[in-house]
Amino acid sequence: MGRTIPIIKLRDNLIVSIQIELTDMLVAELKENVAMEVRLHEVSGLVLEVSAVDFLDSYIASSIQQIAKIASCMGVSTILAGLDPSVAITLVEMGADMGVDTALNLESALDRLEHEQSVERARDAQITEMILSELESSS
Amino acid sequence: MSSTFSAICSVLSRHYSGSSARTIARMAMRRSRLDERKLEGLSNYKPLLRELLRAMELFSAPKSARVECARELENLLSQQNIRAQATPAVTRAEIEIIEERHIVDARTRARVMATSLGFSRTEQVKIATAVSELARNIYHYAGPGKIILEVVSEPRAGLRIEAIDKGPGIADLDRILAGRFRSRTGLGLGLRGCKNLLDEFAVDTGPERGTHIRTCKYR
Repeated sequence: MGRTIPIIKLRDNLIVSIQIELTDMLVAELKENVAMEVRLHEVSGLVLEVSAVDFLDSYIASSIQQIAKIASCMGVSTILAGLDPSVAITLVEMGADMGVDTALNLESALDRLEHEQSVERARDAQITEMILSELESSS
Repeated sequence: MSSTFSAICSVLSRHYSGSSARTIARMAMRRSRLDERKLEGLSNYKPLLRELLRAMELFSAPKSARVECARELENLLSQQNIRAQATPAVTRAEIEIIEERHIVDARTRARVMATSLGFSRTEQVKIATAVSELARNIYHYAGPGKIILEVVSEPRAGLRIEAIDKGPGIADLDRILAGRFRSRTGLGLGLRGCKNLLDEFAVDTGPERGTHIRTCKYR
């Protein structure tokens, strides 16, 4: 078949945009590929962009949850972006709880991840400053 | 290119550029799960029209042009609709569930039938999801089996969905339907979720006779 889901690196994040009908096999493949790519690119954020996904059953929903959990095990925050309104209604009526951070669209997902990353960088810089000034005062 | 598709494009291109017109038409077809072949003799054009209007939002045009374009599209599609009355849509389908790809077959067929019955987009998603859950249960726990889809008109217009297998039966049905069961494959809410999404839901199950689930979704 040769259909795969592209995984794109953008700055500190990976973007997975799902544009084709998800089958169980494809979802299983995606799980593995995302984990590998996270390791390879050493990113700190992952966005699963699902605006073109017009169907999610409980198995596929739980696989997406697992992808998010796998990424967070590796220290990467994951955001599910652009869930289709009909799909969202269906999931809620079924009683499914995605248990994943979500955003309205790709743009706000990236904004949020970049904000998180800049806060972290600022905190790291602050700690470095503190250590440096302590070193100076002790010498 | 099919005649309906090019007719839609030519209406759109009176108000948008040629490439925008084609993008709008393609996007709407994809979202309403139509290909050019299915477009000929489409019995319910409302979902497609809605998707066309949604796709038009992505391209800038004055409001008056959008209103005018919507009116022209409605005219075009309703005429197609009259021509389509002669060819009846599929009213019954039986899908054997043996391999994983049959789950996709079942939900795709269900969605097409739901679309032709005039279910809203959200209702279509609910039906496809419910059928997928039922087919998945057969595949994982009780295969082989089958899904039967049938258009009904009594007491109201709707789609009847049946799942039949000769498997081991569902031992803890009450626990599953009460939501106190978590499977290893899904979110543990296949059957219960299915019940929530549909209007009728009856299960006949036993170790000797397998499982027969009868459900219906009314419009």
